[in-house]
Amino acid sequence: MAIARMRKVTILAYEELEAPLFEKLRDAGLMHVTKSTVAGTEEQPEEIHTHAETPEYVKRLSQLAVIKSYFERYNTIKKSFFDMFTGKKPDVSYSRFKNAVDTYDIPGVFDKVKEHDEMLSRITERIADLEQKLQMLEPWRSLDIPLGEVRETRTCDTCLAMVPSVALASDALASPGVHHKVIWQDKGQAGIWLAVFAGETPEGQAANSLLAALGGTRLNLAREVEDYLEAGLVGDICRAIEGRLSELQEKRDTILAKDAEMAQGLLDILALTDYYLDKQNLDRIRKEAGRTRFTLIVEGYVKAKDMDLFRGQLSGFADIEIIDEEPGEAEDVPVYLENHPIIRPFEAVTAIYGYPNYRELDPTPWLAPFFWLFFGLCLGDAIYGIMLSLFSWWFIKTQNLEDERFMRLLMYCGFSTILAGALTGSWFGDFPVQFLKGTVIERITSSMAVLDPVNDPMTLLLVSLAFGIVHIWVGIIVKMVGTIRGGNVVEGIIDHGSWVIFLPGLVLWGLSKAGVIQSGVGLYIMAAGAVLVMISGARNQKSIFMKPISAVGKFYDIVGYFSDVLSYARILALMLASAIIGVVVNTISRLVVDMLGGLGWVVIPVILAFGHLLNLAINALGSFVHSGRLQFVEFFSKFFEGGGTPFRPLRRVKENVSLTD
Amino acid sequence: MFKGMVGSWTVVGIVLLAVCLVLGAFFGEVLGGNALALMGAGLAVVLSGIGSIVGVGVAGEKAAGITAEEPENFGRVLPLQALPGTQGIYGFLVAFLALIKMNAFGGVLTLTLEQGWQVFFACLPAGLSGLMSALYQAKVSLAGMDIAAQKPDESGKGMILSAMVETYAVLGLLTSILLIMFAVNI
Repeated sequence: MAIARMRKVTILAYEELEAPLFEKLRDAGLMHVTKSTVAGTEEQPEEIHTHAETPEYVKRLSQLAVIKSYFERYNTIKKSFFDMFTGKKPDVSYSRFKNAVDTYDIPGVFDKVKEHDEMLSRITERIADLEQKLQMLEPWRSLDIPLGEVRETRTCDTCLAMVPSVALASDALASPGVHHKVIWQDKGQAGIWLAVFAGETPEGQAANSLLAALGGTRLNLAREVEDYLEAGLVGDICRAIEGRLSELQEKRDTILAKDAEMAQGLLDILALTDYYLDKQNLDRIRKEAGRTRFTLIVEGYVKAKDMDLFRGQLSGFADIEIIDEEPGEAEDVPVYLENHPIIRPFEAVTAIYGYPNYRELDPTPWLAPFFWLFFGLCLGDAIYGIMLSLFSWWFIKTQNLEDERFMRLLMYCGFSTILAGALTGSWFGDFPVQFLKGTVIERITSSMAVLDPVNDPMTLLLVSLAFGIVHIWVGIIVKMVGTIRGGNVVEGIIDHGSWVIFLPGLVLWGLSKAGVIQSGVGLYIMAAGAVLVMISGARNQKSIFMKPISAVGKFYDIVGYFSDVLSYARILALMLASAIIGVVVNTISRLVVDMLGGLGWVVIPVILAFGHLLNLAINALGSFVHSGRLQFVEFFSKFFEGGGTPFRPLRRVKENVSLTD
Repeated sequence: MFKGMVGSWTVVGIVLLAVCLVLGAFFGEVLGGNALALMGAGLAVVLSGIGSIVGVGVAGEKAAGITAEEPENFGRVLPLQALPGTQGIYGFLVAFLALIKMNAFGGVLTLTLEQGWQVFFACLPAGLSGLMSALYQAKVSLAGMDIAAQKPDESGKGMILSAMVETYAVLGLLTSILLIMFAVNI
């Protein structure tokens, strides 16, 4: 059976066993736990188990999230390019995991992280502030008076100011009682030291009116660097600030170094996150269990063949009762697909659409040969096939995937691509013809070719449509078999069997009409089928007068089948697309050689590699989704119901790391 | 926001086509068959190119946003971004076939006015169906990325939904290929 048989399991236990029992179930990883059907019948289970305070894991998880994002600034876990696609998690040994759970001081590290974070942002702010001050002081370095001395006295107002350069020639600056010295000039502006004799009536700052007349501004540098004025001259103040800056930078470096060291524990943080997520998950599952005053009722499903193993795993509990029984008719039994290792990779295709329900056929073995074939035809290039297979094989070997079905599927599809490519004479497009003309390779590859999609697309169009007819026909057969197995023999034979007979009859009749085959047997098959089709149309019609109309109307279904079959023209189109783009890449390479001569031979490997890789990537994607679509839309619509829940046994949460021995 | 863009880019494409048609209709005698055929080949690339550029562009924006939040999702959103990109390649493919048919790589072009129009119209199915389908496919891809973001394991469904739209680009491509190979009388 392609869908694993399940047993419905009910476990009765004393309430004290709750925590150890669930941990054991998780470690066994064999039971898909469902919400108990008796939950909440005696008392409100939520009320019994409402925690007086928030559970520990909630607090820990939020602390871990903060630590994680802080540590990730130091990015201590290296990920390979492929990990982005596979979502591969870092490995953590079980001993390290255990050690982290026992000894890692989460609140301590959390406090430290918070403290460091605050310190760092304070230091960074301070550094930026001081750097800005340094920049401001820089042009005034040649001022030969200590900055603290530049201020108003009782009779004289001295200050630093910025005035437009043109104003330096102004008479106002040369008037008596005014003294100035240019410290710097830059971009039409000048920085000056200015002294104005304030006279006997020192009201306010005497220099202001002069500056206003010159269009300048008074600068109060001293106030900006108050803390450093004691150093004296501007140069000394700058040195003092620089000293302070390097102190701060040193402090920052120390913290950063400590953090980088602490961030080595990122892996522990990830492992601990999983640990608490697991606790959260167990807590959630526990709430689904049924309860009476003293007992606990856990319900779920276990694969029938795992039942003995499951009982063995739980044999350590003396006082529990395990009941296993055949699932009831109306139950939503979880589905686990079990197929031959060769078919197994194709479960990845089924999973894209969704799982079958427990009571129907697993479509995987049925779609497998067609998907394999269609993919190969769509991509249709022998070298691409070899590349795809080799890459997938290498990927499986080196990447240690959790679920390798998809890559294995690509590897198999590479084989059909090689086959289709060899039969259509496509090896990197027309590479042998363009570059290896007259060699053994060209002779071998062309001798294998049976069809030429580029010059004879009509034949391949017919081949594509023929595959479509077979595909749809098989779909109807699967439906018929399923219906008969389900006990509806008459419905199976008449409603579905009628088409199983009629469609090939129609095709054979058409072929004999077209003169392709001599035998007229198709007409009789078609006639027999047609009678059954009419019976099936009339059968479900209650009114006796409407029966003939329904009988004839049933033939309207042909339109549906016809449009389904036309959809398979995409196989030809995709095949042409990848073949012709391959030709285009080769032609461009040749043109480059023609244009550049000898130099061209240096450039074309790059053009060929880039062009063919791009073609492979884009058309492999297209071949995959379109072969998938032919299964889901054209094939599944004939027999598949779906809607099954995947079998997900209670297991340890492994969201961030994968545990190794 | 993208919803409005679909309409306006479609209009841009159709205006482009209209300009070429008007040029051909009024100045065909002056331009000659070669120019008409080349215009057709160019339109196949440009029309489906517009669709793919806009489609892959907006899909890429969203893909980047999703990757920023969950870098692990990169591998799931990348194919969804790539899907509306195939139309541009189909258009290029058709243009290339048309050039081969015209013997553009072999020397002098000598197409009559009638042959020029034949190539022009043979290129249109791929160009127009590429333009429209890439834009609408991008919309489905954008929605599919929500699947990838919220239920990463189900992102394959988003790809299939998006591929449903591409069917019509594939049919346009097939029609153009067959027209160029068999219907054009060169």
